[in-house]
Amino acid sequence: LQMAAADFAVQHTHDRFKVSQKRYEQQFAHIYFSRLSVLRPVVRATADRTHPGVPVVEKIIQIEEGVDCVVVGTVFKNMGLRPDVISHYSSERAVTTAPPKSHFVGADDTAGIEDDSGRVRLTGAVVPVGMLATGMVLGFRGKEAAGEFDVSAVIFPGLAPQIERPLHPRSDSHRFLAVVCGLRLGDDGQNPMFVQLLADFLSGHLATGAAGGQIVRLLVAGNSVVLPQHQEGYKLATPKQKQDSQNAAAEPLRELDAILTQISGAIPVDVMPGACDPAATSLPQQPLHRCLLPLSSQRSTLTGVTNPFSATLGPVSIIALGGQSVDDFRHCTTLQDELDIMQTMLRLRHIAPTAPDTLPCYPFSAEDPFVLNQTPHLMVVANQPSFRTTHFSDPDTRQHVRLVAVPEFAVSHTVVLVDLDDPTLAPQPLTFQS
Amino acid sequence: MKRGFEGAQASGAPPKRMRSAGDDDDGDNDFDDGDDDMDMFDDGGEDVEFEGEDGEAANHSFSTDVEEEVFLKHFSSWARRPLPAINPATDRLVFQQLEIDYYTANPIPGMPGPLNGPVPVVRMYGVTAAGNTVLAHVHGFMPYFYIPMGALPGFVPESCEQFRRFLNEKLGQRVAQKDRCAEYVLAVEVFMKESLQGYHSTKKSPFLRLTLLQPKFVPTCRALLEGGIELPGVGLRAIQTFESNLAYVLRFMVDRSVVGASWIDIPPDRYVVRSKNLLSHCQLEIDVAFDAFVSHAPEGEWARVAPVRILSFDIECAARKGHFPEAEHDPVIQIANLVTVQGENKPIIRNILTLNSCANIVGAQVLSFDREGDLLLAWKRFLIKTDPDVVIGYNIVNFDIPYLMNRAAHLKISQFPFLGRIKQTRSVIRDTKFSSKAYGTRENKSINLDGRVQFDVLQAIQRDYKLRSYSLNAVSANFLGEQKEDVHHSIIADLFRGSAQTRRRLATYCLKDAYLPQRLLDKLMLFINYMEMARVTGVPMGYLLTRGQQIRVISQLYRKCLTEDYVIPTNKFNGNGEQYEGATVIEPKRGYYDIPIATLDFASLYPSIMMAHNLCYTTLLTPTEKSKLAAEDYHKTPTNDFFVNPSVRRGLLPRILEDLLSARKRAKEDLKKAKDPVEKAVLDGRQLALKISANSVYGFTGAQVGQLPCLEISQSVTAYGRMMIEATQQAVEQKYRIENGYSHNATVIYGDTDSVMVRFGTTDVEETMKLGREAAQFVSGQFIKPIKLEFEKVYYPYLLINKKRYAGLLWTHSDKHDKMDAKGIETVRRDNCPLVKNVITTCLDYILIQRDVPGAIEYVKSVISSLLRNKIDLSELVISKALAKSGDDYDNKQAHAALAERMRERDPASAPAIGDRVPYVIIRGAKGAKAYEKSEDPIYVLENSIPLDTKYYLEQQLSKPLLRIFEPIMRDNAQSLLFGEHTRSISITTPTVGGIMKFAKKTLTCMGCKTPLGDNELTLCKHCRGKEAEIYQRALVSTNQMQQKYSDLWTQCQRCQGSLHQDVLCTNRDCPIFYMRKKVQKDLNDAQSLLDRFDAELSW
Repeated sequence: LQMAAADFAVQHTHDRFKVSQKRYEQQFAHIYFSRLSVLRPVVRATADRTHPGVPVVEKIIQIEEGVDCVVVGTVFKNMGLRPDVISHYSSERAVTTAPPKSHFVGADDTAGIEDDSGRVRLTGAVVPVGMLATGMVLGFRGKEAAGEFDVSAVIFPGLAPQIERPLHPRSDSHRFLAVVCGLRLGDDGQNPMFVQLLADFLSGHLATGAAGGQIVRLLVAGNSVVLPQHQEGYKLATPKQKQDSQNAAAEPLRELDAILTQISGAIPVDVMPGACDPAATSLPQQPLHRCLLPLSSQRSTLTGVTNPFSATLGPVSIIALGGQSVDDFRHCTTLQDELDIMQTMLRLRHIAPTAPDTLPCYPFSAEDPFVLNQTPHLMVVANQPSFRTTHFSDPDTRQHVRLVAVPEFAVSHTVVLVDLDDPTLAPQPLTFQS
Repeated sequence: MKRGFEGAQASGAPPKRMRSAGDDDDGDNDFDDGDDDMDMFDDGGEDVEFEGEDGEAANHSFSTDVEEEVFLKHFSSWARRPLPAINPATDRLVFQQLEIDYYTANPIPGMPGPLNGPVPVVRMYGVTAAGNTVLAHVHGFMPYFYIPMGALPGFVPESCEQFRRFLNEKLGQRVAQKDRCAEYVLAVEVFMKESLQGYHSTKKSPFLRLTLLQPKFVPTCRALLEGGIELPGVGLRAIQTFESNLAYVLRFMVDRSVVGASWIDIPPDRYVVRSKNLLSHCQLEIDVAFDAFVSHAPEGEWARVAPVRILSFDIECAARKGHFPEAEHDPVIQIANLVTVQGENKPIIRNILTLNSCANIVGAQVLSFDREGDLLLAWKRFLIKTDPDVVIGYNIVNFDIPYLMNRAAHLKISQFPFLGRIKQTRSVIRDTKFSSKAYGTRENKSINLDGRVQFDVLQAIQRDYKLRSYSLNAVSANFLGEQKEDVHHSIIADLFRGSAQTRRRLATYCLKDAYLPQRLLDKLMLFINYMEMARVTGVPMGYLLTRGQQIRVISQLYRKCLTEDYVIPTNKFNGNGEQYEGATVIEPKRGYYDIPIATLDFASLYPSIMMAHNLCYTTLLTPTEKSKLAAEDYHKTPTNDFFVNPSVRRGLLPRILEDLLSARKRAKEDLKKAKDPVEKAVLDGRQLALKISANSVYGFTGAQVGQLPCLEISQSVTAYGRMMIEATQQAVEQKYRIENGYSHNATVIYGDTDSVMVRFGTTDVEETMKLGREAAQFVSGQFIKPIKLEFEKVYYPYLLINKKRYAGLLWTHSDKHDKMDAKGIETVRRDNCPLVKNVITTCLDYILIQRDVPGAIEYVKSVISSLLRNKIDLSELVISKALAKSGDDYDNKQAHAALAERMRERDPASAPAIGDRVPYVIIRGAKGAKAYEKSEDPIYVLENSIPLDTKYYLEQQLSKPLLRIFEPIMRDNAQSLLFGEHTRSISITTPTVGGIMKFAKKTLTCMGCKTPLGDNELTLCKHCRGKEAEIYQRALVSTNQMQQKYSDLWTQCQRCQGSLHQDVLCTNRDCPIFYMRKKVQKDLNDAQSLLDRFDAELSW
């Protein structure tokens, strides 16, 4: 087991998600600008291919009334159901809580596109307003009439290039990547037995059973701990109360540290932060701080990684999302199925299109790291409602991508094993039972 | 451009003007000094004759052919639809008139009136149902007034001609040289009339009607008669005149039954279409005799609205740094225009005229000009071509229009100020001032745009709504529920000097500002409501915003008098300051009532009193007249005034009121039946107008600086009112008693002008409503009709703080409360910070809706604690005041003026200019420092982490309003809110500037225990090392909240500004998130640097 892991070439490629200098002087306009400048030529090229002969206008202001053309820009969508930020923050009672997120899509939503030259509203039955979200870069074919753009077709950037995957010559080889998420240590009502079963299984104390091969690496994809919310009032806390609350906060992390120490003794582990982990919530989330995992972080086999995370594991390139951008996509569009959303993201060449509008992210000034410049072989989205998978074949580019949605372990008691040597990267869910 | 109106209002110092915009006669002398490049516009000044549309378009051209070409390309799309062929012999002409004025001209053959002029000609401007514009020249209506024949001893009807000649001669000596003509007095005739003032047993008596050649001779003739005239054979006599101060146009409207915005219907063959001597830009000009048309009463099909064109516009100016724009110096750089047809929800024209290039805007026409003169002229040509019936905007009357005119004058563009429909009438700026009890004193500009109704949305909102602030930001936040992007005038100049892109940015902003007045107009139904008010009161729409309420009553009074043969004396009243007792109230029994309180209201109390007691000018008895009557013929009012009973004579005012109230009843019934939304809006506007009109009649009789004050009426009205409130109290308290079989003794806990609050004692809402209805009916029975007490609502619970200060949940159905109603509590005073309003609102919510008094107390304590611990958002603590004068001019140093002074010293460019609102917070100052010395710019405070004077906010801002609410509830215990455990924890920010900080050395301290760190330590001291994870997490939690907030706020601003790709520039300090946005940026940077210290030590 150990041997197999050692001769397995792993390359972390998530450096672009690391933010070294976190400053907040700049505004969000830059990230949209970067996104559009990278994706606009891509959409144009696609438009040239799919709508030959139709002129592509350089800028929105150059649209001429009545002329059939293609225009590329950043989508903006007006959603009436979206929580009102101003009233939320100006009412004195809501000091800290984030706006309750739910589904923001309504029948009266309208959409338009924008670039640095202006914006125009989109009309026409073809416009799938429900499928659009603020921040997507798309092309639209249509004609301007009375100051609105009557759309006849929507043009996606399409899938980014993909590195060809050499299939392992030995057909009997089965090396697995294990993905687990949502351990939710510290959450009420958890049976600690399941997490221990998981740890024992991964560190080889249990028979591998269904897998029938080797687990070469574990990805812990976020939501590992749930920390107690502390309340702030005007009553002064006693030193004892202070100490108690600090201990309560530290306990789940100590558990996590112990478990990771155990597992990383057996196989290499990558730890991603998620929405409820002790990491800054803005995307990309930076690796958990070493001080939070004082024991396990001493091991060279454990690495704290960003969310989103990307790597090349042997022959397979992978991108893994903690789930926030998919959840937010769900809030803002009519697409609800995580597999559909993942496909759409690949076609948009963007893994967090709704950031920064409805999803907090760093106000990048020079780049947009969420633009996909490469299509991965394997795309994993963690902390989803259930285990879902498909082998997505893009009809245009004939590229194949294995899409996997992983449910939270705390709810499903499931770990997902992806066979990195399988031609279709078929995953197997493994569910622990008491 | 909106800023400044608040300042201008208070300062009394109108902005300087370029040149006196005086008489029409001297229009062309601008060209004498022949400087600069504008002489291309010198093509004859005012004597421009426009011959048809093409002629006008070709009349002047712009600096470049391209500009001209672009302009002409759009030009044709702006016109109204062409006028269909019309045959006066067979076609009836119907149009809705919106504006009426008059001019003098020589008589036209075939029209009534004297043969020799010049005579007055009335102009009615209107729109047909098809949307074509009409100007009707109405001929033959001559001005007149009355004098009592009895004032001329020995006068017999046969003396008329002799007297006419006599008066004609006398008048001839008085009129100015240039007005000399053959006949001034056209006729003297005898009519049987009666003076409106006082009851006369003689009823009608002979009056002489003097008809004059021109309206301007009326005041001259009045002065001649009233000032004392030497009558042959009699001697010097001063003769009282009647109806000699009614404006000519209104006289015409009264006599011809024309009300504001009515439909005019001219039968075939009764009018002549003008083909030459066209005076105006209207599509159709006709001549008609004054008695040849019908003005339809606005009922049924004649209640509709023509497709009126409304222009909404906004201008931007590039001001010099640190100055409010002044027309002598600062160019007009953009003008955004939207033309909407009334009733349609999308503008038909949307364009922007810009100085220098401007990138295109989808959905709007962009017209760029190299020279400002061209820009101004283009706007004028646009205005003439689109020919709007109504011109709206925000503060256009006092800012935008005068600015354009002054700027054009400065640039010596003599063609510019012809903005009305009459080609040769120059628009001029006049300063006007009107004082009104209802609206206060207002200084305004007035600019004639002949034939167009000007409707300044700011003025309308100032009249109709009481708000904390009337800035366009505040108003749109209030009524449209959205914040408005606000670009500071210093940034406007920067954007202007940038590129075509930055000017485009500015243009989209300007267009939005031009659209807001239209949206407000639609949302608040302003156009419909004002049109209905014009119809109900009979005055032209233009009067409603520029004149007080009196003219509306006068118009109605004259109409009634005309049909009843009364004449109205022309008196001069200069209020002698005599006071009469106003409406007093039943002393409130202050407290928190946790049981239902019934509210009984008198419906239209003052009008009903006037009707019930027959109070009128025509029924008022003098002692002499009283002695001629029997005791049963008159009655005495509580103020010892005497009025005849209706059996002797029914008063005129009571009948006007009856008409108004029954019309309102009809309108309300029709409103219930109406289906069409426009019809509904019209009817609702009408019933509102009728209600306001009925109520203003009382005020008219009491207006001491008025046309016809009558203290006897007004003081009797209020005295009756008081009596009735007291009588109601007695009746209710006597009837609803335990000994009469009721469960409790009722008490009246409070009574105000026209309502009485009764505590019946029952705890059941349904039961209270039943008792309330019953009591209202019972009490009503004791009063003279039509006085009626109505049960309207129940308050439960009810917090009665003081006179005119109360709050409660309002119930009109027993199953669920309708809303929270608070009077006099949420102070509209602007020198309160928003925290006060928020805290009070939340307290009322706790107390009244949650019924959780302990919760409210707990909440107040937590807010006070947060305040003292510096946890309250800065935006809640900002106080703002308009800077009216420069700091030196204030007698007493004021916080905002002192701050403006200090800011000017710091940076003259960004300091507030006169007219700007100055937002400030109170900071901690040296001991004994005056409040005005402790004011500081909120942005400066944020940037430099300056500690606030939280004690000031607690003691000067919060404590009084809080105690007011809580004293009725907690009695003496209320003080405990302000003292106690929750006030013990205090934190103070460490400032980064000034004082002791100059000597401080920055040392890193341990993030766990604040002890200074050793050289190799970045985050924690060695004792705190073990708790690193916990301390890190704590830092993280607050950073995360800030990140969420940063993201929420800045993306919200992107949405509000309507652009993702451009940086947010907005400086709308009224917006609740403006300071928050700035603060979270700074806080997040600070928090992040703290976290970064951890990262520097250890990373993967």
